[in-house]
Amino acid sequence: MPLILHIEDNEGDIMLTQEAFSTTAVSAQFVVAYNGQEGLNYLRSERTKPDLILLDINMPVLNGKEFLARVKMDTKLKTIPVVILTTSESNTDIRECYNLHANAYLNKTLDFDSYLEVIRSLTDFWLKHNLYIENHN
Amino acid sequence: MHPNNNLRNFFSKSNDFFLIISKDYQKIEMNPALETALGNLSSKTVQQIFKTPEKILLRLEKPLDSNVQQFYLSNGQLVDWSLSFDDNYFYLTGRLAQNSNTIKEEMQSIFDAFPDLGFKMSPEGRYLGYYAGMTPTFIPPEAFMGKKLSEIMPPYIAENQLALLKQCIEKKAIITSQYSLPYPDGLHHFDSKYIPLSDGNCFVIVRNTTDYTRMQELLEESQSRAKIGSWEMNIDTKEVFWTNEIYNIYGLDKQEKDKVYTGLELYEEEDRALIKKNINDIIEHKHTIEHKLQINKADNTKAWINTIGYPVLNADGKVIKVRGTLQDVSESQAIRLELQQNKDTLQLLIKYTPAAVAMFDNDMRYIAYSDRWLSDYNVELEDITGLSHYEVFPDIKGAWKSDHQRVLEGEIYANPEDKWTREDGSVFYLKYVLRPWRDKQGTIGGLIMFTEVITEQVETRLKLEKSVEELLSTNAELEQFAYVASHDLQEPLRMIGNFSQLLNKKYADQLDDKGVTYLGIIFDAAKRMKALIQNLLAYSSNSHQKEILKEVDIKSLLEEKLKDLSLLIDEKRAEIKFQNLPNSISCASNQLGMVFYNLILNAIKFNDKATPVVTISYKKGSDKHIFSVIDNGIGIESHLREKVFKIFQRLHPKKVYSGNGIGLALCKKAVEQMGGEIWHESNESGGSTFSFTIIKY
Repeated sequence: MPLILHIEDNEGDIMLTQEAFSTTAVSAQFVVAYNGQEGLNYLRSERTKPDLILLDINMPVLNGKEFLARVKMDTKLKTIPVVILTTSESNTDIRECYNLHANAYLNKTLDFDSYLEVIRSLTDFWLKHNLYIENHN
Repeated sequence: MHPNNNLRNFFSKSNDFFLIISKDYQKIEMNPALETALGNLSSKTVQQIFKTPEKILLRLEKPLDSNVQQFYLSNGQLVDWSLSFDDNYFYLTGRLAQNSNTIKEEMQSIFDAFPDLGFKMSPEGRYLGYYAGMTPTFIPPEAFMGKKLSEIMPPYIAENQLALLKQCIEKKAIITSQYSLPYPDGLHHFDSKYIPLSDGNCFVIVRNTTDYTRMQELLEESQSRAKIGSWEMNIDTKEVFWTNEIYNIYGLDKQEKDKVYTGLELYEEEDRALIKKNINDIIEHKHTIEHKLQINKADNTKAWINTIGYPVLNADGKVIKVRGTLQDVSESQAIRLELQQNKDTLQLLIKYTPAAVAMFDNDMRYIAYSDRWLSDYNVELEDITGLSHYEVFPDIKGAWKSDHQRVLEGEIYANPEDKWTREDGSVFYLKYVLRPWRDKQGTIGGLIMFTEVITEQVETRLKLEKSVEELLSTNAELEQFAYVASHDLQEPLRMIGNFSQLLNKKYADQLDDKGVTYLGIIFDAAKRMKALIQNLLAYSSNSHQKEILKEVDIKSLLEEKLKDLSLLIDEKRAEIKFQNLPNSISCASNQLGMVFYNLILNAIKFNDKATPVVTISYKKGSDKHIFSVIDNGIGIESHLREKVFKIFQRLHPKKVYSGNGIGLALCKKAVEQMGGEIWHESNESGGSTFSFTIIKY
């Protein structure tokens, strides 16, 4: 079962995302960090690395971009796909995130139906058919 | 011994001749010496004694001058006779003129060696005798004999010479003078020297200096080239002698000299007094005087004359003449005046220049300056000409002094903005150019400062910069706000939207119909709120976006926008017309496209006709493009015209005409950014005409 590190400070979004995942065919294990720093602490302390990181941008302590920059500079972590999941539709944010080697940029929507579609496409692409690097040792 | 006998004895023994003639010529006595000389005379009569008795008689008839005269004795001997008389007798004493002849010959040879004429003259001015020298005279000296001065010379000279002659005899003093006489070949110049004689007459030596004068013509010619004339004035006679050049300078014909005589007539009234005073000063104080005066030449032109006069002294140190030069300096005077005028003009020009300008010499002393210079820099002195810049402004910056030196060495120095904090704490901002100025030879004569006090402009600019800075920080805050709005504001909204939907999805069976409707309302509200936020973001981000201008084909741009609107156009069966559109204009294409999009959208949307007709037309203004979008729609009431351009302003209920009230606000903003304006008018069809301008580039 793939392991997903979900870095998100909004409890509502955490619930919505897990709700959306539950409707998909892929069952995944979730680890939640409430900001970038917590996420980084997890990655650096745990021997088991996640198969995918879902990353919000706007967070306290260490925000999504700062987290992304550190992860992509870390040779042990940079191979983990990072999918940005954010409310921001701003071009600046999108460009910056791709510059920091984000693997995908997805938008949180206002209505749940659309959100389900976003999450399904995500699981289809990143978890269902993709071969990912074996990080489990 | 009887005295008479002694006297008789003396007479008889003397070698001189003694002759006593009674006034009636009847009784004649003579001494033995004369008797011996004459030999045996048949009778003792005047006729017997003298060779030319008529001359003697004539002489005795006029016994007034008691001088020595020579007469021949009947024996042919020449005797010098002196004559005296009383009431009854003439007393004549004579001596053989043999010795005196020798003296005379000796004298003659001496005189002959000199180029002079010598005349013996009576106190009345009669020529009594002459010694002719080598001086060529056009009138032979014999012709002078027995004549008076007044018969030989022009009256004004004769009168003068006579006065000198009398003075010579009376004061027993040697007197010299100069005069000129008209000769057939021109004016001849003479020096005369009167020497008193013991017999009460005087001897005058006349030297014709004409040749000498002519020798001076070479000098004169050179003077002529320099336009210098020489003059000489005899103090006694007041006679003035001029060289030819003076005639030229005065514009006179030489023959005309008599008419003007002194030349004074050519001078201005007040100048004549000055000339007289100067001449008197030369005579009195024996010093040289120079003056420069303007004259009215005889040919009615004006000239500047520089005159120098100095005294000529005789051996006794007495001033006998005033001599000098006279020069036409009109040209140099004109140049000088012109220079002065140029300088005056320059000074005036600078004085009234409406800028703070000053001109300095090499020592940074003021030559000229403008009134603005004084007022702009609060100089309280009335006149700073000649003062040093550093005296006038003791508080100027040290660096400026070295700037001045560099400019005085030829550099041009400009500073578009320089701050100067004065001693009293006042702050000046200056803009200036310092340039060296050069004289005709190209030598740097000093520098000119062109300055402008720009304190106000600079302070305004600084304020502006400050407000721009504030504005920028405000903008940054706005951007921050926009970011907050796009994330933080949308996040709770998203929660509302998503969870109301999730609730509906998962728990609809636990709700009644009303509950389901309520969830729908919550979800709708969240969606609308999100749209509002997005529009607000669009509006605010539009305010600081700059678009690069490019050539835009208006028809293509419009067609592209119509494609975006094709669904609506088809749905409403709208008809779009183009009128007089330009080929291409230089503009911000995204902005202009957005404006067209919104105006056409509104034109179709707010239209209740079966066939909405939208016409896009163009007019060319002198400095702007004018576009109009004309529809046959529902129109806008005139009192609402301004309101439509306000953000979130809706005129119609949502259910009738959907819209978010931001389109026209965005249009207005875009048009204003393109340097134009937008307005609304009602047209004949009752529809709306939206017109806008954009600046031509």
